Amino acid sequence: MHDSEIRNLIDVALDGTLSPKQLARLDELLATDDDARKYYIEEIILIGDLERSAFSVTYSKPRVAVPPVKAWTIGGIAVLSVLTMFITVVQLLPVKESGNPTRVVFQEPIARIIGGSSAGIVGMPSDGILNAGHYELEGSICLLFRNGASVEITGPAKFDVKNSLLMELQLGSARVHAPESAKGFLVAIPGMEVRDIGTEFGISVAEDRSAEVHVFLGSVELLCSGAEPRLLEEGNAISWEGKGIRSMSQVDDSKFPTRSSIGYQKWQTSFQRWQSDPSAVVFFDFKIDADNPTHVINLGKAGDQSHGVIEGPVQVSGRWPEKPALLFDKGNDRIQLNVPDEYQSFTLSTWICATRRTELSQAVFMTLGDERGEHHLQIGRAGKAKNGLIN
Amino acid sequence: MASERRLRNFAKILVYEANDADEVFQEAAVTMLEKFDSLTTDRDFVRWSCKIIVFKVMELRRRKGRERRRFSDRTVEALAGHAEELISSMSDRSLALENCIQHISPTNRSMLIERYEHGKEVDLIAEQFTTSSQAVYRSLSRSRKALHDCISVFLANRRRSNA
Repeated sequence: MHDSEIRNLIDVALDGTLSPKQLARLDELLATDDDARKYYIEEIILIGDLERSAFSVTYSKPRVAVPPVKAWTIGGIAVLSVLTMFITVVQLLPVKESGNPTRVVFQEPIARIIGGSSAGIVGMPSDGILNAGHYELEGSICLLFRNGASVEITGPAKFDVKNSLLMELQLGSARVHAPESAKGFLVAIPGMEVRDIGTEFGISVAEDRSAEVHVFLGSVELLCSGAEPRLLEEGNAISWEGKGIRSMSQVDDSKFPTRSSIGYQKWQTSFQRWQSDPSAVVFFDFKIDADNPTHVINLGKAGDQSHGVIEGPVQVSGRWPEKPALLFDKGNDRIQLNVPDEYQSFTLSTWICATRRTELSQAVFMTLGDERGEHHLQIGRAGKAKNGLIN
Repeated sequence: MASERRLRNFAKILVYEANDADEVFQEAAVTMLEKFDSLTTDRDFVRWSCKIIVFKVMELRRRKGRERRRFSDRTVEALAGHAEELISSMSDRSLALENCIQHISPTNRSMLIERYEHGKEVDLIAEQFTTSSQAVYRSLSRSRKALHDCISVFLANRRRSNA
C-alpha cells in the first residue's frame, strides 16, 4: 500500500477539498488495493469514535431480562431446636411476593463499586455501577475499573469518571492500583494529569485545589500543560498548587484509604445496623464471650438471645485484622444454638470464606434433625448453595 | 445505539462527506422502517441495513452525481464488502481507542477533542492554540496515525493473548 499517499488523500477527502485528480486517484486505490481500503475504513471508524467522544465513552448493551428476587418461606414449619455451623443474622421478615420478571436496561459499566457503599453518593445508581459522569461522596468507596485499575476514594470527594482509563478528581483522596491491563490509567487533577506506568500511588486534592501525589510502588508520569512530562518514582511525593511542583520529604501511606480500611468501615456500619435491628433473632460477629470461652455472643435483639455454643472451631482473624472469625476446620466443627420460637419465614445472611470443599455437601446452617420439613443450607463441592426443606 | 453508530459509519465510509452520509443514513432509516417486516431475524439486521445503505448511496450518486464528487460504483461495492466485515469489530476498536488515546500528548489530545468531539473548524483551533492551520492539520493527521498504529498493535496483542 502507498501508505503516505493514501493517508494524504484521506486527509484531503475528510477536509472536503479533494481535487478531481485526487478523487480519481483515491477512487482507484480504494477499488484495487485491499490495504488502502482497509486503512480508509479504519480511519473513518476512528473518526466516528472520536466524534462520539472517545474521551468520555460509554457502551450500550441490549436490554436483558433478569429474574425477580425471591424470598423463600418455610410454610407452617417450626424452625427450632439446634442449628449447626455458623450464622451471622437470622431476621424475621414478611414473605415477599414474587412478581413478574423485571426488565432492566444497563450500560456496560466503566467501573463498579467493590468496597464501601453507594449509599449517599451523589449521582450514584443504586446498583453500584458507574458509567461516565460526575459523582460526589462523603464516605469511602473502592472502585474497580473495567480495565482492572482499582481506586479507593475517601470523601468528601468530587470526581468524574470519564472512561475506563481516565478519571478526574476535583476533591478528596484516592489510592490507585493499576495492574498491567490498566497501564496508562490517568487521574486528572486541577492543572495536572497523573499517568500510571505500572504502579500504586496516592493522590489528593484539597478545597483550595492544592494537590499531593505520593508514589508507593513503581512510578507515575506528571503531565502539566506546557511543560515536559516529569517522572515521579517509588518512594517520592510532590505537592502541587497550580503554579509549580514542590518535592515533599517523604511519602505518607496513611493519608490514603485502602480497600481493607474501606471494607472494615463498611462492616462497622452494617454491624451497627444489625445490632440495633429489633427483628434480628440471631446476630454473631464471632466475638467470644470473655467469661465463657465456649460461647459466641448472640447480639440479636429478638428471640431469647441465647448464645451459641462453640464445638470445635478456633478463633482467627476475619476479613480484616480487627474483625474476629471462627475457623471451621475439622469435620464436626460447629456452633450449636437454640431458636425456640416458630416463624413462618426468615432471612439468613452470612459471609463465608471457603478455602476448600472436600465434602459432597458441607453444612452451613441447618437443623440437627432429618425430619420432614426441617431446614438445611449446604454448599456442594462445586461451590453451589443447596437450600431447602426435607420432604 | 451501537447498531446506529455502525450504520452511520458505514454510510460515511461509502460517501466520506458528513452531509452526504447523514442524508444517506436518514433515507436508509426511512426505508428500514417501511421494510422492517421483511427482516426475518434480528441477527441479520446490520447486514440487511448495510444493503439498504449501499442502495441509497447508489441512488444518491445517480441523483447528484454530476453536482458533486463521488466514488465510482466499483469502489462503493468494494468498500461495502470490506466495511461490513470491519464494522462488526467496532466495539473492539473503541476499547482499543480508549486505551490508545491516553498515549497522545495533552496538547494533541486537546486538539483532537476540539476538532472531533466539539466539531470546531481547524482555523478556530489554530487561533485557540496560537498556531497555523497547517500545523493543526499536521498535528491531527499525526495523532490519527499514532492512534491507528496503536489500535492495530493493541488488537494484535489481544488476539495473541486470546489465542
